[in-house]
Amino acid sequence: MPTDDRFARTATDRYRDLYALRAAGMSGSEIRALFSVLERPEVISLAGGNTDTDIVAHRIPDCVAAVLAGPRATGADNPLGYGMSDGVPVLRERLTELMALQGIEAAPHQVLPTDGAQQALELIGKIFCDPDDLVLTEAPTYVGALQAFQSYQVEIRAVPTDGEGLIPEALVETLAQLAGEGRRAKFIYLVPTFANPSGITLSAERRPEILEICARNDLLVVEDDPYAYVRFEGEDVPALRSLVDEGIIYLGTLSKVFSPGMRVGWVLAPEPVRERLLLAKEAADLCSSPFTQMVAATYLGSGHVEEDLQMVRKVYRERRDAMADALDAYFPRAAQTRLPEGGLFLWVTLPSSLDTKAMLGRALEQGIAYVPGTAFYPRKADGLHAMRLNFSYPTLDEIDEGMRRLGAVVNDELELARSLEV
Amino acid sequence: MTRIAVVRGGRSLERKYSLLSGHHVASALRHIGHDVTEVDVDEQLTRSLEASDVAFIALHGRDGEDGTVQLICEALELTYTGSAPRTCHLCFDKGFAKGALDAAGIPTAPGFVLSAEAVRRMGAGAALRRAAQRVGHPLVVKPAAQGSALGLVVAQRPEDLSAAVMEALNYGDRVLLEAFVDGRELSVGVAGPDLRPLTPVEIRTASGVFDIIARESPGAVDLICPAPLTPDELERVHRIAVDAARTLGVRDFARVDMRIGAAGPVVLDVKTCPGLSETSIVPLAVAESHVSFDDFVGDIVEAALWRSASAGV
Repeated sequence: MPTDDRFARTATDRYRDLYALRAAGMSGSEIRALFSVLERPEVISLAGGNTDTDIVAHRIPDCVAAVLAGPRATGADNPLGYGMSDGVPVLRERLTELMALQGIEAAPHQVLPTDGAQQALELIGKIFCDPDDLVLTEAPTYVGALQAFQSYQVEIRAVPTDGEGLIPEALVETLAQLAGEGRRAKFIYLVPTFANPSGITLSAERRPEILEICARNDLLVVEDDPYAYVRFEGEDVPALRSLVDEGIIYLGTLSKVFSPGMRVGWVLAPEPVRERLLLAKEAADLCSSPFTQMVAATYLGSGHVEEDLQMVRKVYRERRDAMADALDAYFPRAAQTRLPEGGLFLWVTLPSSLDTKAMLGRALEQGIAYVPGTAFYPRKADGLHAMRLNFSYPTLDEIDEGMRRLGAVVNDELELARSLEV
Repeated sequence: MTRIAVVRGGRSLERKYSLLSGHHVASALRHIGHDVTEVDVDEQLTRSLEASDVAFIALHGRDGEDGTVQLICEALELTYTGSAPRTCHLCFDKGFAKGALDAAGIPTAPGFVLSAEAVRRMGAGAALRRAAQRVGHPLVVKPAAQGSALGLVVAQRPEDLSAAVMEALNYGDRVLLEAFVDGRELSVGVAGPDLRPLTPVEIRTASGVFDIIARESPGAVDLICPAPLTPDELERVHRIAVDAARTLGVRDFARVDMRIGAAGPVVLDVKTCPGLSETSIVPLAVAESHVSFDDFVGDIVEAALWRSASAGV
């Protein structure tokens, strides 16, 4: 008789029966395991979404000193104490001024600061999403949004896009399909300007049309707008939130303007939604750090923002161009990209014989990291041939060397694919 | 107080697992009073090793399991734990190990190895397909020299073969195609001067395949220890594990991975530096044997020191 495994010592997670269904369904990824080599100095990473914080780093000591020297007798004035859940008042004021540059009119009391825009995504999932609810997105779309919404066990359905962003007719068709199924989407999540990862911007012509379709179908819009300030060429397009102020939740962040490490983002939402987000935030963290909020507010009020943004745009444009040149020089012709007019990423599509997730091991062995395309799709079978490359963080030399290494990996892989096809 | 350099981390894609193993080993060695330094694989490695009495090699993948760091220790005449370079080299490439085990009459899954170079330069893609047809599907396709199931794919149908081979060759220059043994997955640790078998551990996953996705998904893997086995099965897997380890020249400790199919157990892999983290298989088996992990790693160090003293080094 076999020994009875009821009495076996097991390395099973002993808490497994206790987890909520949403946690039990969380799945792992080999990408996370492989990325432990990113801390090795010889590896060049084109994988993250980091900015070049050196551009603003020299401003920080003065901002910190000003915050610590300021009055901090009680409550909301104390950068080292607990703050209010609805954020530091002076930051809310500065954020409304920043949004005004995008043509967005808002009052400070309408703004809810969050720990990066990522927390806003999580809070949106928390207050809107039940299991099996439906959420619409572009595809590819921001991986952090997929993670935030999927942790609430929603079904994510992609609406087709083209070079001008979301296709209005496709949105109409999708909504008609849903109506036919007797279903209604909770909201549509969009990164309309320099979408992560594709870099595509929803055209100015389509914006009112998309909003009109959403309004007609009572579809709530979540506009995630991290990159609008990082436009280095082309015409500005209006934020969706600047065109309407109902039926839309706007998410902003200082991660691309100031520092991702400060974790300062915000939500501008219709009042009833803001109230629920605030309650959800209270439960999540009581308050965002008053210290970092005050440092950020001091920076925004310092008079250096536009000057620094000009530098950000200049530096990132050079790096984008360097990456595009390196793509031409080192990659096979079949590698394609669409040159974005802003943002942080190139989205590169390779021949269909290549699987960028499978290729990641070889790339990391060669000291170069990227994010495989599958990470950005709700269906894991999509995006196999694409990769996202970050140009905002690496130096020009690192971009050239990194692209040289990656190009060699891609060429090697293509040769192998051809050999196997024979 | 013995100065021990625990070598962990490294350049391989198994870095994450090695950091966990190294931390667990270092903590245990500190508990029993050793002077422990945790070191990584970089340009300072040799200097760090020179400042130590013993190197405890807790590296997974290249450098640690292919004999590279062991060769440095040999050149320095530094005492180190685990198997000698030749055994590491042999075990690190599953194709070489399989050949040695086959020659010794130890059961393995039928399979064959081809190099990327042969596929690229010698038209060996056709040979792959013919051989795959001979072995039949489902077919396990994996890099010959890689651990942690990285690059392992089960090709269910002939049309899956090319993609699976591409994936495997992304993790090494040689690909191993092996018959899928439908059955149970089992690991047996061996340890000590006479390579005594530890209690077998059965690995259960929802998909039936212990691949990297299962390893990385919280709660997706159950390790059952002791594995539910009949006395005959237990005797057989113990014997096979010890025979495999001895055949390949294992020293101090190792883990022998097997599957038990309709025709009995077959050896898939012998790991000369298996995972030693708090949630790894070997520490689980050690705990089942009522030996503390502190004593287990302490004994490994003592064995290495004794070996050096005996050799007059």
